[in-house]
Amino acid sequence: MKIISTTVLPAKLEHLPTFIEAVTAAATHGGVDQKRLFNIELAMEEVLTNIMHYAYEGAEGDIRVVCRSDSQQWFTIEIIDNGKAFDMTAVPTPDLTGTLSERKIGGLGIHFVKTLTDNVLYRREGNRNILEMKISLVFSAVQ
Amino acid sequence: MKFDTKKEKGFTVVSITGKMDALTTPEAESKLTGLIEAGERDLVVDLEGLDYISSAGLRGILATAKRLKAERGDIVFANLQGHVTEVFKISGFHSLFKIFDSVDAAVNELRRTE
Repeated sequence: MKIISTTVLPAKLEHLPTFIEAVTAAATHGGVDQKRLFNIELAMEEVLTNIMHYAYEGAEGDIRVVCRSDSQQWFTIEIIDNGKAFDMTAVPTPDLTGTLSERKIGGLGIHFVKTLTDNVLYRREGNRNILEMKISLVFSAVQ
Repeated sequence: MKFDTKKEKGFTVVSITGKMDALTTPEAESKLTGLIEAGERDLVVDLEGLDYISSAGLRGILATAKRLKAERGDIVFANLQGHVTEVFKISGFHSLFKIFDSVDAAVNELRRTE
């Protein structure tokens, strides 16, 4: 697996565009279909804003984003923070069918991440959350 | 993100262009809330120029719709584009809201249900 880019910045909303630009540039370089850049941008915003809002509970902290490609099958984005443990892959799908009064504000972002990428893996290593999102370079498993 | 309003057959049409993401949605939502506070009850939201929306944008829309409902108002959408349509579908917003192919059709719906 070849590293295409690494971006480390404070977990602050103002850095969202820089993170996303770095990842979409890496995805293009790594051979991801242009049509899927939107999926990547959206999944990245959801993961990053989640960390920015909740991981450090008001304290300062960084986010590290590493993009890799094996040039054959997968483009992989690893998003790492040192905040409180949070496994988004364990969060159940929100109810998407309720009426306006029933629908809750929130819970959709994680659903988008799972829907728009081919695979999402979480692991906790020491005090680090590591989320790995995989995008297939071979076929479009997700529209 | 650009936010414009105009009148169409007596109804207020809001055009939101660019992106509705975590950075831009607070401004869009506060402008929508401003319209409701100024007395607007029925809104047409024209999304022809919107090319990106995230869950932050959907939260802004849902909050606005709930505010309008509390005032017995309504919100309808027109001209959703490719990616935005996709996001509306995977979030279930497609069945939650009335969505039209043109501002004209959206305005007619509001006139019909007024």
